[in-house]
Amino acid sequence: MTRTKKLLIRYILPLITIILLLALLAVALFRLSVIQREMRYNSNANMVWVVYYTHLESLRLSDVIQKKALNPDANVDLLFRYQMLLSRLNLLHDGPQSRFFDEVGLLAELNTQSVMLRQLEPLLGASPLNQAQLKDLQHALDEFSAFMLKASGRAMTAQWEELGAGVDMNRNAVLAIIVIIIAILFCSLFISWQLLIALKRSRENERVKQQQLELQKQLEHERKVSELYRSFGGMVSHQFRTPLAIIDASMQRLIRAAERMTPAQVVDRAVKVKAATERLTHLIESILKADRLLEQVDMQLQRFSLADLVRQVIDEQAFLSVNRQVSFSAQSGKDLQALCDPVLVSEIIGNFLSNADKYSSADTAIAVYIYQEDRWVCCQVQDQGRGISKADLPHIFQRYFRAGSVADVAGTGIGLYVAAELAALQRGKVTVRSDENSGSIFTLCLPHHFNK
Amino acid sequence: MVKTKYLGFQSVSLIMAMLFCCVTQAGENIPLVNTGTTPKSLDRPVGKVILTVDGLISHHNLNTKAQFDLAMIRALPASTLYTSTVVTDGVKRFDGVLVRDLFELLGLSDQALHVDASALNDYLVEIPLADFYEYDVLLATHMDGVLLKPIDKGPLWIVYPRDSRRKLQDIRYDYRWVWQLKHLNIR
Repeated sequence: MTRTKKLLIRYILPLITIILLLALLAVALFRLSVIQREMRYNSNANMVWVVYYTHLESLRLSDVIQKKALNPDANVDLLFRYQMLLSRLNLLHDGPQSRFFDEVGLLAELNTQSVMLRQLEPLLGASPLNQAQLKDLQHALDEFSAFMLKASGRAMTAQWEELGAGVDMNRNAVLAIIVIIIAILFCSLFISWQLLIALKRSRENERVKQQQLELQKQLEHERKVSELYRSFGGMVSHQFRTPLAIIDASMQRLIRAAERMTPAQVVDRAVKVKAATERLTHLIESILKADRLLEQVDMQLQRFSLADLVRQVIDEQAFLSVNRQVSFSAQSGKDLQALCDPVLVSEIIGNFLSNADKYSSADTAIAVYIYQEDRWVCCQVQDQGRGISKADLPHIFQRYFRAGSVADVAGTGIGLYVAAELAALQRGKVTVRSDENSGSIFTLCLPHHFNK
Repeated sequence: MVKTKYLGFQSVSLIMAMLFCCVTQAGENIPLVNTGTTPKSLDRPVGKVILTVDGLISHHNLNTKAQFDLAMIRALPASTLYTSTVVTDGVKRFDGVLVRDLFELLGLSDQALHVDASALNDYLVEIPLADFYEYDVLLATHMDGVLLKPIDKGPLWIVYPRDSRRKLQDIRYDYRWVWQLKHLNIR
C-alpha cells in the first residue's frame, strides 16, 4: 500500500464520513423542525365552518320570510335574522376569509352578493310585505344560498387539498428522514468498522513492540552469557596458563634430562609441579565454591554489631600476610547494629581484606572503619595498594572480571562478584572508590536495624 | 399518676375543639363556599339586556338569573389586551372586563367546573372554568376602540390572550372565542 493510499483510507475517509454524518444529522434535524413548525400552523380549516354558518343564517332568514308570507302576524324578528346574516357577511369580508374567497376565485361574486343583500334592508323594514317584495327577497336569498353552496364546495375542496398536501409533505419529509437515518446508520457502521480496524492495528503494533522488547531482552541475556564465557575463558587462559607452563617445563626437563639429574633436582621439579597443580586445584575450587555459596545460601537476617563482626574477622587473620598491619576504628556514639547474616558478612569482609592484602605491598597498613550513614551501617576497607584504573572500575564487580593491572597475581575474578551478590541478598550494597597507584576503598553497607 | 393522664386527655380535647371552631369560622369567610346561603341581589339592568348568566351563581337579579346591560358590565374593572385573532388580520386592541371579575361579582359555587357559552346565532360551546383563572380572558366590548355591535361580533366577545401564551395558539382554544355572546350557564 502506498503512503498516500494509506493516508486516504486511515484518516481522510473516516473524516469525510464523520463530516457526512454531521451534515446528514443537520439535514434530518432541519426537516424535523419544519414538520414541527407545520404542525403548529393552523390552516384555514374553519373556512368550511364559516361558510356553513353564513349559509345557515341565510336559510334561517329565508325561513322567517316564508313564515311571514304565510302569516303576516307571525311573531318573528325579521330584522334580527337579517342582522345576523349581515354579521356573517361582515365576517366573510375580514382578512383571512376575504383572502380565501380571493384564492378560490369567488371574491368578486362575494362582493356582488354582499351589495345585493345589503340592498334588501328597506324591503325588510316594510310591513306588511307584498307578494312582489316577498318574491324579490326570496329570489335574492335563493341566489345567495346557491352561492354559499358553491363556496362551501370550494372551501371543502380547498381544505382537503391543503390537508392532502400537508400529508404529502409530511410523508415526503418522513421518508427523507428515514433515508437520512439509514445513511446515518451506514456512516456510523463505517466509522465503527474503521475504529475496530484501528484498534486491531494498535493492538498488533503493541504486540509487535512487546515481541521486539522480548527479543531485545533475550539478546541482552545472550550477550551477557557470551560475555560471561569470554570473561571465564580469559580468566582461565590467564590463570591456568602459568601453572600449566610450569608443569610442562618441569616435565620436559624430566623427560629430556632425567638421567643426568640428581635426585634432589628431580624432587625440586616435582615440588614445582605439585605447587602448580595445587594452584590449579585452588583455582577450580574457588570457582566451584562461589557457585556453591550462592546456590546454597541459607540466610538468616539478625541484629548484629557490624563492628564486633568485622573485628572478629580481622582477628582470625588466616588469609593475611604475616606482618600485615590492620588498623581498626569505629564511629563513636553511634548505634552500629545492622540487620545481616554474620556468615555472609564474614565472607564479604574477608574478601575485601584478602584483596587489600594481595594488591598492596606488605609494609603498608590496611585501615578498617565502621560508621553509620543515613539508614545504613557501613564498613570500609582501605588499602594503599596499586589501585584500579578508571576503565576497569565499572566492571570490578562482574563475574570473572580481572583488572588489567593484576595480571601477575593469581585470581578468578569471582570474589568481588560473590561479595556484591551476598550484599544484595542482605539488602545491602558494596561500592568502591579507587585511585590508580594510591589505593582502593571497598565499602559494604548494610541496612540499619531500625529499618526493620 | 392517673389524674395527670386524665388532665392531659382533657386539654387535648379542648385544643381540638378550639381548632375545629377556628376551621368553621374561617370557612364561612370564603365567598366561594357560600352557595346562595346569603343571597345578595344585583342591580337590575336599566338598558338593553346583552348578557344573561345562570347556573351555579349566588347573586341574581331576576329569579335565578343575573342579567346585565352594557353599563353594568362596564362598571367592572376595565381591562385591555392586544392580540391577533384567527378571523381578522393583524394585532387588535380589545377593551372590556376580565371574565373572572364578572364571576367574582356573581359569587360562583365551588362546584362550578364548566361554562356553557352561547351566542346570538345559537352557537354553543363548553369552556372549562379553569381557563378564566389560568388566563386573563376578556369579555370584550370594544375592538380597536370601536364598540362591538351584533352586526360585527358584538355585543360581547370572549377574547383569549392568544399572542402572549403559546399554548393558546391552538385550534382547541380558538373555538372557545365565542362572539355575539348572549348567555353563560355555569355548571
